[in-house]
Amino acid sequence: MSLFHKLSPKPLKNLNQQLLENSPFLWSTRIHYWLYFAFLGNLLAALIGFVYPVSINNLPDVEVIFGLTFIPAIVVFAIWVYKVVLYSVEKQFGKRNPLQSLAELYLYFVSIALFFSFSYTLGGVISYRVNHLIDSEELVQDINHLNIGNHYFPSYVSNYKTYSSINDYLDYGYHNLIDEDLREIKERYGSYEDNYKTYNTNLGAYSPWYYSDEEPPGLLSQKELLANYLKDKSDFERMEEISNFIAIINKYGGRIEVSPEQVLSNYKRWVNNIDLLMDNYNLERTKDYARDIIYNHSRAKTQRYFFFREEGFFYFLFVLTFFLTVLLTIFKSVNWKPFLVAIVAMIIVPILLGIFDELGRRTFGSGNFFLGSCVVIYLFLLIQTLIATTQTKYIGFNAVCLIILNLLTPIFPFIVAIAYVEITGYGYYHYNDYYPYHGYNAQDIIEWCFWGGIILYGTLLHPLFKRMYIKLRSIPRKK
Amino acid sequence: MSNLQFEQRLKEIKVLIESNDLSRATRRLMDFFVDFPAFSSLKTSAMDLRADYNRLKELGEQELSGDKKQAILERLHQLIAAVDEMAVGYASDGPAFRDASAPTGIPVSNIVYSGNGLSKTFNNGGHYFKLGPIDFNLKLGELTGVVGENGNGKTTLLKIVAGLLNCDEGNFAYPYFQPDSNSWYDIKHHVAYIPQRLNRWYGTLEENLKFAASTHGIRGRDNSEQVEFVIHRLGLTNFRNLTWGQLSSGYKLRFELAKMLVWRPTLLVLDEPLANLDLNAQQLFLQDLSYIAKSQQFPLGVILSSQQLHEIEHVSDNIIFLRNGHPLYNGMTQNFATERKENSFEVAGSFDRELLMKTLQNIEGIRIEDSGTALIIHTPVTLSNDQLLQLLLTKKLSITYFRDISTSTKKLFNQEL
Repeated sequence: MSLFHKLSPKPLKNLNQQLLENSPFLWSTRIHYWLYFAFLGNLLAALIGFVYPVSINNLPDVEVIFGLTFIPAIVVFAIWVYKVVLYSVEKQFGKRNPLQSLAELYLYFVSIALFFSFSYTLGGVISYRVNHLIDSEELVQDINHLNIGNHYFPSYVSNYKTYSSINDYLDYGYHNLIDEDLREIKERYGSYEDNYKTYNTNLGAYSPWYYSDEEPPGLLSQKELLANYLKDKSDFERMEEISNFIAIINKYGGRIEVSPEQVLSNYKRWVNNIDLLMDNYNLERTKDYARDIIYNHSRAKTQRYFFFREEGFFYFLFVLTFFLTVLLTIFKSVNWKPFLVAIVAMIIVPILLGIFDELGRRTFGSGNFFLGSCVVIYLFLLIQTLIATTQTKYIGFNAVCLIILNLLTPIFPFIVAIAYVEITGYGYYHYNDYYPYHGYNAQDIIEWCFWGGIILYGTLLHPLFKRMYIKLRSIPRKK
Repeated sequence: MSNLQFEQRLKEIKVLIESNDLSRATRRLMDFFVDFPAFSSLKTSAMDLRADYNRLKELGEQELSGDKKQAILERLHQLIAAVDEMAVGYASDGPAFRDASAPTGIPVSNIVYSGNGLSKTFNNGGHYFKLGPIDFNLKLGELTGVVGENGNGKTTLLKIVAGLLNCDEGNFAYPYFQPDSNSWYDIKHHVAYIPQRLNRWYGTLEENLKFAASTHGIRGRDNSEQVEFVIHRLGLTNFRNLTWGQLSSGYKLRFELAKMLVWRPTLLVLDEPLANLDLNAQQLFLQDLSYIAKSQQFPLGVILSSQQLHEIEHVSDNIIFLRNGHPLYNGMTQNFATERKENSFEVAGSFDRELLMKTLQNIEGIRIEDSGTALIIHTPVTLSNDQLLQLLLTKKLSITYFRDISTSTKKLFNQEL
């Protein structure tokens, strides 16, 4: 008895028998087994997440989380595909329900989407644990100390510049503040002339919340950091800033072993002579390490440690899942030879079109060859497929055309939209106009067409393609 | 179905029991309960009996012996007695003895495939081959054998019938089930094709049978009952949980047959099914095929190709003999050479052509051919097989093989066009 059967509880086996005897279509999708094993897989991923070693100064990277789950998921995916393609109601010319093809599309979509759930479960559990490793207040305090003390530890000379006065520094070396803040700083510190001093131009390097628009309370702003930076300080104050920086870098896994006195002594020398500064890659590495760790801590606090709030990544997963689903349904419906030919053609033809497009661009200055060719090819495939519907014998070329047409159809509106916008300029912003020419911007039009194509395919066109595959499979061959 | 048929079928089983042929007796008893639904309450018992028989029979063993045999015999007798008892309760012309599958009022064609002027041409690399033109009908409950040498178009013809190949010329129809739909998918829903090279399958034997049945609309309890029936009926009881790699080629073919029969197709197309079977397995397979095709309740049209001419002729109702794509004979097996001008006999022994010629020189109109493995004696129709054999024995020729092929298409193998 296989491991597969050993891991299946009796009720699941009974359900399997029920489906086999009563609903061969559902049985052949293996959705019942897959839901169960996906649940087990997620349970395992959660368990790994709970036992995976994490500490304040040692957090796994996103790549590690993906690697831990994605590689096994790909193996399981391969096994699942193998199991799913073994049995097909259509290949046995069995009884079909017209809604079956849509149900198949949705079930496979859910099944494939479940493969990505392992990464999210593992990422979620680790993210939860990381979030609770350190209090937000403490983390904010640490980031503030690092931002304040960072300029004493020059590692990249390019982050430092010499200015004749604070005014010059504020005018040329610092650009992230709004005019009002800059005016306030100038009023407070601008009169001070320090006669060619070396300034740090990279304040706030440890403020990762910058990217999330969710700055936590207590995090020093650029303005506050700049004010602190420009303030006159005693040696004692500077020593304290330096000591804090060293302690916190070391707390988050970095390694700075130099004494605060030495750092201060060096600072006093190079602040008046930039030529004494040299790139220090070891120092940069250790600062980077700590910075990455802090970045991950702060991402965990905003649910960004893994891809939980990345819209773009969700879209990517959705589209990937959708096309894998379409590929699977096609593969189940046709023989492997036309499928392989179609896939190879789908790889080679765009490359050739891209080359011709580039040649055309260089020779004639025209760059619409690629998109235009895609539209022409699509229309050719459509006509070829319509002709095939009337034929009484199977021709392999028709099957290849149908497969390519099928794969292109969901994105055809998208291609047409790009071609239309590219050729007509519809929806593009004018350089001195806030609004687009025609009321909608090109990005929105392209996006609507993209989603429209996918929705149209997923509701109406997929069953039509399935019917065509069934017809092609059943008609007699020529040889 | 009449009372007479009922009596005949029951008698057949009783004879099999008396002659201790338990294998056939258990199989025919199962068939009996399918064909006479009024007695279906006993069908499960017959299935159990057959299943036990299969389980008790060791691999390679032809029949049971000793206590095992006695136990099975006893149960067979009990079942037959139960049938007899139930039959007394039914009126002799009542519904119990009628064919439940026969439609009332609506005439239905029993022709499952009809081909007229079918032809197919291949021209590969200068090699030209044309099959046909050929006309034939396949009927429910009939077996049609397609025979001929290799490369003469047998597989091509079968693929055309199964809808796998299109023909270049000619008309065809599937009258029995085509009225419902003209789509090839719907046609193939009724046609079962078993190729010469069996395709690999995955999962267990039972799983595949259940899937085949449920995809063809046999669902729920019917599904498990039908699968159980086919498994036991075809002797697959001990193999139900095995996979492709665990079955011998003989059982793989048996499984293919089971997979097709489980959903009760209307037309069964088999390409060289006997090619990988030993002699006993061939006999058993053809016997089952014949019984199943001629089922009263679920009759089948069967067309099969083979090189095993005598075996095929023995079970076929019709024969199509192909040479170079042309049908040298196409008709009922029993009608072959009814108006012949000479008889033909195959003979072999410790003698050569000259000696045989010398021995038979007094018979007028005699011809002798050497087919390689045997000598073929052509005689006037007035000389029967008994007379010829007696003559040869009188002349003290040592004979190891003798077969009357006067009414066999075997004659056509040596016939020059």
